[in-house]
Amino acid sequence: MTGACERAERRSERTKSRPIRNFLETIMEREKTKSELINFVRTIQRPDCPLDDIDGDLSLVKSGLIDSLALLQIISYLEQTYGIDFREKGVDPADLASVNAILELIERESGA
Amino acid sequence: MPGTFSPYHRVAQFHENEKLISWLQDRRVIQWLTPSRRRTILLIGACCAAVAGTMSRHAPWRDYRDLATWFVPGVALPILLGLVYLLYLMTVRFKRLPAFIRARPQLCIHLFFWLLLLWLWLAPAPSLFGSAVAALVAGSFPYLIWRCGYMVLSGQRGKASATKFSDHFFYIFPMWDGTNTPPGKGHEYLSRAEAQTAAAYSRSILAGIKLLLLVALWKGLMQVIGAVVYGDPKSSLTGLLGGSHFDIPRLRAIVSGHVTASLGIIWLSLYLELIWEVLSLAAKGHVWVGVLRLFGFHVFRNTYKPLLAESIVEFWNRYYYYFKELMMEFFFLPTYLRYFRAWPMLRIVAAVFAAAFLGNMYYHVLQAKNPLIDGDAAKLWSLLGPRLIYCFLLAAGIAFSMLRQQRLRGRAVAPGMPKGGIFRLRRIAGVWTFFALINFWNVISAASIAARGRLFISIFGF
Repeated sequence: MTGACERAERRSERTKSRPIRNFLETIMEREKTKSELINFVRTIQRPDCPLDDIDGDLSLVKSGLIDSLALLQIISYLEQTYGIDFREKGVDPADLASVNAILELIERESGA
Repeated sequence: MPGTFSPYHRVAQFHENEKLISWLQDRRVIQWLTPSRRRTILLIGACCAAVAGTMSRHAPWRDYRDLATWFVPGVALPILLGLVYLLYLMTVRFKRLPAFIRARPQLCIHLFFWLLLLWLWLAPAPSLFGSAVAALVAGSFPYLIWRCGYMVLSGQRGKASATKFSDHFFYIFPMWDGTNTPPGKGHEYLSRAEAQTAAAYSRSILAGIKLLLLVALWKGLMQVIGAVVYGDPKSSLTGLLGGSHFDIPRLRAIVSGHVTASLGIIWLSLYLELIWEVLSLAAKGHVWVGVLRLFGFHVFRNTYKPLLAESIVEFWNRYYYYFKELMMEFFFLPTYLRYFRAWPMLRIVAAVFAAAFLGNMYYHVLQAKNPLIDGDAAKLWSLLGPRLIYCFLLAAGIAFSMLRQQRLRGRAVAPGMPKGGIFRLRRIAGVWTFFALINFWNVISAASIAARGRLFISIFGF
């Protein structure tokens, strides 16, 4: 009886901690995607405009870090790495404006 | 360096002066002009622009004593408004549209226009009045088609379902005018740039005033160039100079064969024409964008220092921004996203040619509305034949420049790498030469492709 109670308690603990674990996994996944994305942006940045820190909300084109043509490379990257298909909806340049905006696009399209 | 602004910088950047902004934002009129009130004014302006635009596109409207000339726009305008409203319904209910329209909505709009034209060309005219109404509706399409295109595009992107008709109407019949190219694009772009606070609105107003001051400056400069360089009788300064000027012929006069000039003068005329066109476009574009900014839409300039561009693709981006954006959104991106996905270089080249060659040509075919409505292919060819070469050279130049820029991207600049000074000047000169040369095929003249070709070869000394 006691054993059954303990098992039930443990199961209940696991059930309670599952949303927290999922939440933490989502955050870690997001951070990993963000750091991969920043690394990629560094490979396409303008040669005359290197930045030490790329903030998630930094406007990539307006800050001069990349030019509007580099957005094409971001599109190819998103197609190849995350399998996003832009053919039907097209591309909204606002979705590629910053690292955080791109992250939201990835999450939206992955969940779609 | 911050804190060491020169007097020039302080005057030139007056629109960023925080003291001025805070003074302006406290004015009662600025407080009263909330975003919704500004949009109401723009809506009233749009109603007037819809009426005035339709009247001005109706060729015989100037004969206002004849009542019949008023009837044609009177019937055509409700038809146009109805069509725009149908497209609005299509935009907000985009997800419910049939799959083939959802896949290529822009193509469907253009197909409708071409079917209307086909009907005009082939069907026996029901009556003189009926034909005139149909011609006016078709003739208004090139102006409306790109604006409506932006509206439908926002529906395609899933960003228009909650919008009202009035959110779109004010930029489809804009009171700030413009060419067939919509400055400020559409609802999405304008909404993102719209000032929501008194401080942001004050900034936008000052930025607008700066552009309108620049219009006066560029127009003044054009008067000086017109008088001193060309001896243009239309320039108010020509008379003051007592007829003394450099007497450089305009490029169109050289291309048409109306004047003969030495090789040096032809080259000089080529470069001067480029400067003239940049000034002229900047003056026009600053008015459109200046008005938009006065109404709180702090959007990009149409022309931003193209003569300082160091690459062809940069010049194209800075010369006529909203035309380039139009080509990007309706031709470049659809091609880039659909075709040659496995071949990165070919993908870019195909997309560039779709925009700078095909899209550019198509836009200008629509712009030549009178021969188009009349079905006058010979007139259309004489107008646009040389432009085929212009667009081809432009597309080739942009594709080359784009691939080159892409190769350079991501590389760190080595300390000894040529960046400024003479190297920068050389790059700028290269861009000037490219655009001055291809302009040879773009300048308006009755000269045929063959005649232009002979002259073009001769300027290289052959």
